[in-house]
Amino acid sequence: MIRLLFCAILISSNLSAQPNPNYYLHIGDTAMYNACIAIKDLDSLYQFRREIMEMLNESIEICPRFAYAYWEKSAIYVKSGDFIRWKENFDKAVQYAPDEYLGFRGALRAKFFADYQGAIQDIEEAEKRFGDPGYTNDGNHHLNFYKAICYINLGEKDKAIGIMENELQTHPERRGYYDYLHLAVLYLEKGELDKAWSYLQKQKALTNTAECEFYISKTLFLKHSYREAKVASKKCKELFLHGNRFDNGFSVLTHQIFRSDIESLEQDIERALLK
Amino acid sequence: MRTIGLLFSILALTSCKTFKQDVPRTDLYNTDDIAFDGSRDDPSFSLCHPKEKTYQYFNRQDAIQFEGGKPALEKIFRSNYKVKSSDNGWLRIRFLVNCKGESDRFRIMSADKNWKQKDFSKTCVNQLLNITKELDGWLPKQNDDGDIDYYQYLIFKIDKGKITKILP
Repeated sequence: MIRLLFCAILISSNLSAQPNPNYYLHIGDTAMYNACIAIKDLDSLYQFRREIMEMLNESIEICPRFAYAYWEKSAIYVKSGDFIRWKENFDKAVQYAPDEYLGFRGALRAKFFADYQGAIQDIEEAEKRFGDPGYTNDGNHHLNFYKAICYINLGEKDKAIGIMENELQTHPERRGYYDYLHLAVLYLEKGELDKAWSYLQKQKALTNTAECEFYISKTLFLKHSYREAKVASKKCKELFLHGNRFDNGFSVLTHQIFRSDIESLEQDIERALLK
Repeated sequence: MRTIGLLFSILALTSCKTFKQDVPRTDLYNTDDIAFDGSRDDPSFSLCHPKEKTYQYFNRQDAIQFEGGKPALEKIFRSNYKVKSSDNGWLRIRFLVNCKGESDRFRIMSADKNWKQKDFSKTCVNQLLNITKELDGWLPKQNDDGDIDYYQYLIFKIDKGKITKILP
């Protein structure tokens, strides 16, 4: 678990790390070196400060093919929900460094703007051109698993199951923190309760959250094991109130639950127990 | 000549001061900050911490810090929004929520499905704007020192006038 977390942090930080200007000096690209130097103080200020944008604009002026500066600009715009300037800048980053940013663009257009079709196209294009498309920017999902999540949001759940099962078979090392849970919910929704149960137990062993206990409770409820369902819903509520739940601050995640979902499940269980 | 120069300096200083009253200085420092606009903003709305950084929605707590969570917010739009246009694309409404959970300074941006700026029909925009303005469930976010002011946005993904997704 700790190793997994470490890998994720490493992946996440590597994907967005500021480039080392000396690398460009070493390969004799002075324009890129100077563009890199222009943003050397990027981390010293709050990301939204105008000075940051000025530094990035200056960097691009020095070297208009410096993909990293466009990426950094787009990061500010994506966080303010400015889809127009986000796309303009991210497209430039992809234009100059497609191997680094194409898959990323896919993940972000889905996460921030619900453009699931566009995300799938980007991820598939990245895989076609570069082999392994890589991970989401937060390191939580391999992009092939994330493609499956896009299909979930498009309502193509069997397709999502197919992709996830295939990835687990062929590249088990790519499984992210919550991929077992997503797969479990897909089976739960199809009424395949044993498969859902099996993946929820795997998820619980890996990392337990309110969501995991919620879907365990729901599975038990559907199996008519109401007393056990009540125990799980209680655990779910505890985890939820202690903040052990899906929450990345930026967006609402697929299969994330809310207090109202827990309350509704609790009521269903109570009603069933009274019968 | 010196007198005229002095007069201009005094006028400049005076106008700066007035400007400061309307627009907190922090508003001028950050990308995408929303400055007060007397022609459309509520003059009675104020930030609780105008001299401090105004946070972004993701800096603290949930992406949508609303009474009842995102499901409650979606329900309000489902109940009140009627499809009356054939608009397609994204529409963002960005605004401020102060430490008391009051909101104002609503700003609109929209784009077509190719991510290019495009104005949506008035019927669509006005409905979304009016519903957003009337939302009264925004909850204050906190940092270590207490309740904070923050920027929030709602993005509506629209397909043939219908809301298909509300973000974040």
